[in-house]
Amino acid sequence: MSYKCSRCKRDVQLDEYGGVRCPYCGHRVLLKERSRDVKEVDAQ
Amino acid sequence: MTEEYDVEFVERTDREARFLVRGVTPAFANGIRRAMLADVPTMAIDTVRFVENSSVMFDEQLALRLGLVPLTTPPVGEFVEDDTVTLSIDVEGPATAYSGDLVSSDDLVQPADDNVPIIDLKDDQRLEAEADTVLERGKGHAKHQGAVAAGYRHLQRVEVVDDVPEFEDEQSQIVRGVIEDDGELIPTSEFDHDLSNRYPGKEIELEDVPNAFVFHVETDGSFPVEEIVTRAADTIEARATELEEAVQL
Repeated sequence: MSYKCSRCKRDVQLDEYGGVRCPYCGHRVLLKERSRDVKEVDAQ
Repeated sequence: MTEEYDVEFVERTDREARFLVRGVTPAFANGIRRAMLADVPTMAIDTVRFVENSSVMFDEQLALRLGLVPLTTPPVGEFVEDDTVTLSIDVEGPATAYSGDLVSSDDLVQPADDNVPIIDLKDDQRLEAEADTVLERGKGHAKHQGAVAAGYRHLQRVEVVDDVPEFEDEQSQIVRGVIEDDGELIPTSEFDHDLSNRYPGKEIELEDVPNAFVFHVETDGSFPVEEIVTRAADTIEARATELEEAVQL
Protein backbone atom coordinates (compact mmCIF):
# COMPACT_ATOMS: atom_id res chain seq x y z
CA MET A 1 0.00 0.00 0.00
CA SER A 2 1.34 3.39 -0.87
CA TYR A 3 0.35 6.46 1.06
CA LYS A 4 1.35 10.07 1.03
CA CYS A 5 2.07 12.08 4.14
CA SER A 6 -0.32 15.02 4.33
CA ARG A 7 2.32 17.29 5.95
CA CYS A 8 5.59 16.60 4.14
CA LYS A 9 3.90 15.23 0.94
CA ARG A 10 6.41 12.37 0.74
CA ASP A 11 5.51 8.85 -0.33
CA VAL A 12 5.27 6.49 2.62
CA GLN A 13 5.32 2.72 2.70
CA LEU A 14 3.52 1.33 5.73
CA ASP A 15 4.65 -1.89 7.40
CA GLU A 16 3.01 -3.85 10.18
CA TYR A 17 5.37 -2.62 12.93
CA GLY A 18 5.62 1.12 12.50
CA GLY A 19 1.94 1.96 12.98
CA VAL A 20 0.28 4.81 11.16
CA ARG A 21 3.01 7.43 11.17
CA CYS A 22 5.22 9.12 8.64
CA PRO A 23 8.85 7.90 9.10
CA TYR A 24 10.22 11.25 7.85
CA CYS A 25 8.30 13.82 9.86
CA GLY A 26 6.29 11.77 12.33
CA HIS A 27 2.96 13.12 11.10
CA ARG A 28 0.06 10.79 11.73
CA VAL A 29 -2.19 11.80 8.85
CA LEU A 30 -1.54 9.79 5.70
CA LEU A 31 -3.46 9.97 2.45
CA LYS A 32 -4.03 6.88 0.37
CA GLU A 33 -2.93 7.23 -3.25
CA ARG A 34 -5.19 6.20 -6.09
CA SER A 35 -4.16 2.84 -7.52
CA ARG A 36 -2.62 2.84 -10.97
CA ASP A 37 -4.80 0.15 -12.49
CA VAL A 38 -7.39 0.92 -15.06
CA LYS A 39 -10.83 1.03 -13.48
CA GLU A 40 -13.87 -0.03 -15.44
CA VAL A 41 -17.18 1.63 -14.65
CA ASP A 42 -20.65 1.07 -16.06
CA ALA A 43 -22.42 4.21 -17.23
CA GLN A 44 -25.82 3.16 -15.94
CA MET B 1 -55.90 2.80 -40.09
CA THR B 2 -57.16 4.14 -43.36
CA GLU B 3 -55.33 3.11 -46.49
CA GLU B 4 -54.48 6.61 -47.66
CA TYR B 5 -52.39 8.87 -45.55
CA ASP B 6 -50.55 12.02 -46.23
CA VAL B 7 -47.55 13.81 -44.71
CA GLU B 8 -46.83 17.50 -45.01
CA PHE B 9 -43.98 19.43 -43.39
CA VAL B 10 -44.78 22.70 -41.62
CA GLU B 11 -41.29 23.46 -40.33
CA ARG B 12 -38.17 21.52 -41.07
CA THR B 13 -34.60 21.83 -39.86
CA ASP B 14 -31.95 19.20 -39.27
CA ARG B 15 -32.78 18.54 -35.65
CA GLU B 16 -36.30 19.79 -35.28
CA ALA B 17 -39.37 19.45 -37.44
CA ARG B 18 -43.09 19.88 -37.38
CA PHE B 19 -45.18 17.89 -39.80
CA LEU B 20 -48.80 17.11 -40.41
CA VAL B 21 -50.01 13.56 -40.89
CA ARG B 22 -53.52 13.01 -42.19
CA GLY B 23 -55.47 9.80 -42.25
CA VAL B 24 -54.03 8.02 -39.21
CA THR B 25 -55.85 6.95 -36.07
CA PRO B 26 -54.98 8.46 -32.67
CA ALA B 27 -53.68 5.02 -31.65
CA PHE B 28 -51.25 4.97 -34.55
CA ALA B 29 -50.10 8.53 -33.90
CA ASN B 30 -49.38 7.65 -30.29
CA GLY B 31 -47.70 4.42 -31.40
CA ILE B 32 -45.30 6.40 -33.58
CA ARG B 33 -44.56 8.82 -30.73
CA ARG B 34 -43.84 6.01 -28.31
CA ALA B 35 -41.71 4.14 -30.82
CA MET B 36 -39.62 7.27 -31.42
CA LEU B 37 -38.93 7.55 -27.70
CA ALA B 38 -38.39 3.95 -26.75
CA ASP B 39 -37.74 1.71 -29.73
CA VAL B 40 -35.24 3.38 -32.03
CA PRO B 41 -31.75 2.05 -31.24
CA THR B 42 -29.24 4.82 -30.58
CA MET B 43 -25.53 4.83 -29.81
CA ALA B 44 -24.40 5.82 -26.32
CA ILE B 45 -21.42 5.19 -24.07
CA ASP B 46 -21.99 2.20 -21.84
CA THR B 47 -18.74 1.27 -20.11
CA VAL B 48 -15.83 3.56 -19.32
CA ARG B 49 -12.30 2.49 -18.43
CA PHE B 50 -10.47 5.15 -16.44
CA VAL B 51 -6.73 5.19 -16.89
CA GLU B 52 -6.30 8.37 -14.93
CA ASN B 53 -8.78 10.59 -13.20
CA SER B 54 -7.28 13.15 -10.88
CA SER B 55 -10.26 15.48 -11.27
CA VAL B 56 -12.53 16.42 -8.41
CA MET B 57 -15.28 14.03 -9.47
CA PHE B 58 -15.62 10.31 -8.94
CA ASP B 59 -15.17 7.91 -11.86
CA GLU B 60 -18.79 6.83 -11.59
CA GLN B 61 -20.11 10.38 -11.89
CA LEU B 62 -17.96 11.06 -14.94
CA ALA B 63 -19.06 7.77 -16.48
CA LEU B 64 -22.69 8.86 -16.12
CA ARG B 65 -21.93 12.19 -17.74
CA LEU B 66 -20.08 10.53 -20.60
CA GLY B 67 -23.00 8.16 -21.07
CA LEU B 68 -25.37 11.06 -21.64
CA VAL B 69 -23.30 12.62 -24.44
CA PRO B 70 -25.34 12.28 -27.67
CA LEU B 71 -23.49 10.35 -30.37
CA THR B 72 -24.27 10.10 -34.05
CA THR B 73 -25.83 6.77 -34.90
CA PRO B 74 -24.66 4.89 -38.00
CA PRO B 75 -27.09 4.04 -40.83
CA VAL B 76 -29.23 0.92 -40.55
CA GLY B 77 -27.30 -2.23 -41.37
CA GLU B 78 -23.86 -0.87 -40.45
CA PHE B 79 -24.21 -2.07 -36.88
CA VAL B 80 -26.44 -4.48 -35.05
CA GLU B 81 -27.60 -4.11 -31.48
CA ASP B 82 -24.79 -4.78 -28.96
CA ASP B 83 -21.95 -3.94 -31.40
CA THR B 84 -19.38 -1.66 -29.79
CA VAL B 85 -17.26 1.30 -30.86
CA THR B 86 -14.51 2.70 -28.66
CA LEU B 87 -14.00 6.38 -27.92
CA SER B 88 -11.12 7.83 -25.98
CA ILE B 89 -10.55 11.08 -24.14
CA ASP B 90 -7.34 12.58 -22.80
CA VAL B 91 -7.45 16.10 -21.38
CA GLU B 92 -4.94 17.74 -19.10
CA GLY B 93 -5.72 20.72 -16.88
CA PRO B 94 -6.05 23.62 -16.67
CA ALA B 95 -8.79 23.09 -19.25
CA THR B 96 -12.36 21.99 -19.59
CA ALA B 97 -12.97 18.57 -21.05
CA TYR B 98 -15.69 18.81 -23.69
CA SER B 99 -17.51 16.13 -25.64
CA GLY B 100 -15.53 17.34 -28.65
CA ASP B 101 -12.38 15.95 -27.01
CA LEU B 102 -13.71 12.43 -27.45
CA VAL B 103 -11.81 10.68 -30.24
CA SER B 104 -13.71 7.92 -31.97
CA SER B 105 -12.34 4.77 -33.54
CA ASP B 106 -15.13 4.88 -36.12
CA ASP B 107 -16.11 7.89 -38.25
CA LEU B 108 -19.77 6.88 -38.17
CA VAL B 109 -19.95 7.29 -34.40
CA GLN B 110 -18.97 10.78 -33.28
CA PRO B 111 -20.20 13.14 -30.58
CA ALA B 112 -23.24 14.92 -32.05
CA ASP B 113 -22.22 18.17 -30.35
CA ASP B 114 -18.68 19.30 -29.63
CA ASN B 115 -19.54 21.67 -26.83
CA VAL B 116 -21.03 19.51 -24.08
CA PRO B 117 -18.88 20.18 -20.99
CA ILE B 118 -17.79 17.05 -19.14
CA ILE B 119 -15.59 18.43 -16.39
CA ASP B 120 -13.51 21.45 -15.54
CA LEU B 121 -9.90 20.44 -14.82
CA LYS B 122 -7.58 22.57 -12.69
CA ASP B 123 -3.75 22.56 -12.60
CA ASP B 124 -2.21 19.10 -12.51
CA GLN B 125 -5.54 17.38 -12.98
CA ARG B 126 -5.93 14.96 -15.79
CA LEU B 127 -8.64 12.84 -17.29
CA GLU B 128 -7.71 9.89 -19.44
CA ALA B 129 -10.32 7.30 -20.26
CA GLU B 130 -11.58 4.90 -22.85
CA ALA B 131 -15.26 4.33 -23.43
CA ASP B 132 -17.25 1.63 -25.21
CA THR B 133 -20.46 2.57 -26.93
CA VAL B 134 -23.35 0.26 -27.59
CA LEU B 135 -26.40 0.43 -29.82
CA GLU B 136 -29.48 0.07 -27.66
CA ARG B 137 -33.05 1.24 -27.26
CA GLY B 138 -34.55 4.05 -25.22
CA LYS B 139 -36.52 1.44 -23.29
CA GLY B 140 -33.36 0.37 -21.50
CA HIS B 141 -31.91 3.76 -20.61
CA ALA B 142 -32.80 7.35 -21.49
CA LYS B 143 -29.32 7.92 -22.95
CA HIS B 144 -30.39 5.72 -25.87
CA GLN B 145 -33.37 7.93 -26.59
CA GLY B 146 -32.97 9.54 -30.00
CA ALA B 147 -35.98 11.86 -29.78
CA VAL B 148 -35.61 14.31 -26.93
CA ALA B 149 -38.95 15.97 -27.52
CA ALA B 150 -41.59 14.15 -29.49
CA GLY B 151 -45.25 14.93 -29.32
CA TYR B 152 -48.31 15.68 -31.37
CA ARG B 153 -51.45 17.77 -31.30
CA HIS B 154 -54.63 17.67 -33.26
CA LEU B 155 -54.71 19.88 -36.29
CA GLN B 156 -57.34 22.55 -35.57
CA ARG B 157 -59.65 24.07 -38.11
CA VAL B 158 -60.64 27.70 -37.72
CA GLU B 159 -63.98 29.01 -38.81
CA VAL B 160 -65.15 32.60 -38.69
CA VAL B 161 -68.73 32.44 -37.46
CA ASP B 162 -69.67 36.02 -36.82
CA ASP B 163 -68.47 39.49 -35.89
CA VAL B 164 -67.94 40.31 -32.25
CA PRO B 165 -70.99 42.36 -31.04
CA GLU B 166 -70.32 46.10 -31.22
CA PHE B 167 -70.17 46.94 -27.51
CA GLU B 168 -68.50 43.76 -26.29
CA ASP B 169 -64.84 43.59 -25.37
CA GLU B 170 -62.72 41.38 -27.49
CA GLN B 171 -61.53 38.28 -25.66
CA SER B 172 -58.20 36.73 -26.40
CA GLN B 173 -58.39 33.16 -27.55
CA ILE B 174 -55.22 31.22 -26.94
CA VAL B 175 -54.40 28.21 -29.07
CA ARG B 176 -51.18 26.29 -29.53
CA GLY B 177 -50.04 24.10 -32.36
CA VAL B 178 -50.96 24.48 -35.99
CA ILE B 179 -54.26 25.74 -37.36
CA GLU B 180 -55.85 25.16 -40.73
CA ASP B 181 -57.52 28.08 -42.41
CA ASP B 182 -58.95 27.39 -45.87
CA GLY B 183 -56.48 24.57 -46.38
CA GLU B 184 -53.54 26.77 -45.37
CA LEU B 185 -51.41 25.57 -42.45
CA ILE B 186 -50.34 28.27 -39.99
CA PRO B 187 -48.23 27.67 -36.87
CA THR B 188 -49.85 29.55 -33.98
CA SER B 189 -46.52 31.19 -33.14
CA GLU B 190 -47.06 33.42 -36.19
CA PHE B 191 -49.81 35.31 -34.37
CA ASP B 192 -48.49 34.96 -30.83
CA HIS B 193 -50.82 31.98 -30.14
CA ASP B 194 -53.77 34.34 -29.90
CA LEU B 195 -56.55 34.02 -32.46
CA SER B 196 -57.83 37.52 -31.70
CA ASN B 197 -54.60 38.87 -33.23
CA ARG B 198 -55.24 37.08 -36.48
CA TYR B 199 -58.97 37.62 -36.68
CA PRO B 200 -59.62 40.93 -34.93
CA GLY B 201 -63.28 41.63 -34.29
CA LYS B 202 -64.41 38.19 -35.37
CA GLU B 203 -66.04 35.39 -33.50
CA ILE B 204 -64.11 32.21 -34.10
CA GLU B 205 -64.92 28.56 -33.77
CA LEU B 206 -62.22 25.94 -33.46
CA GLU B 207 -62.59 22.26 -34.04
CA ASP B 208 -60.21 19.33 -34.17
CA VAL B 209 -59.73 17.92 -37.64
CA PRO B 210 -60.41 14.19 -37.31
CA ASN B 211 -57.42 11.91 -37.85
CA ALA B 212 -55.01 14.75 -38.59
CA PHE B 213 -52.06 15.15 -36.24
CA VAL B 214 -49.29 17.69 -36.14
CA PHE B 215 -46.13 16.08 -34.83
CA HIS B 216 -43.36 18.10 -33.30
CA VAL B 217 -40.13 16.13 -33.12
CA GLU B 218 -36.72 17.17 -31.91
CA THR B 219 -33.73 14.83 -31.97
CA ASP B 220 -30.58 14.84 -29.86
CA GLY B 221 -28.42 14.90 -33.00
CA SER B 222 -28.13 11.12 -33.32
CA PHE B 223 -29.85 11.37 -36.67
CA PRO B 224 -32.08 13.77 -38.62
CA VAL B 225 -35.79 13.97 -37.79
CA GLU B 226 -36.90 12.11 -40.96
CA GLU B 227 -34.61 9.25 -40.02
CA ILE B 228 -35.99 8.84 -36.51
CA VAL B 229 -39.58 8.88 -37.74
CA THR B 230 -38.98 6.30 -40.45
CA ARG B 231 -36.96 4.11 -38.11
CA ALA B 232 -39.76 4.32 -35.55
CA ALA B 233 -42.26 3.24 -38.20
CA ASP B 234 -39.94 0.37 -39.14
CA THR B 235 -39.78 -0.88 -35.55
CA ILE B 236 -43.59 -0.88 -35.38
CA GLU B 237 -43.69 -2.86 -38.60
CA ALA B 238 -41.07 -5.30 -37.33
CA ARG B 239 -43.02 -5.90 -34.14
CA ALA B 240 -46.29 -6.29 -36.02
CA THR B 241 -44.66 -8.88 -38.30
CA GLU B 242 -43.25 -10.67 -35.29
CA LEU B 243 -46.69 -10.80 -33.69
CA GLU B 244 -48.28 -12.02 -36.90
CA GLU B 245 -45.78 -14.86 -37.14
CA ALA B 246 -46.17 -15.73 -33.48
CA VAL B 247 -49.94 -16.15 -33.68
CA GLN B 248 -49.93 -18.29 -36.83
CA LEU B 249 -51.35 -21.69 -36.10
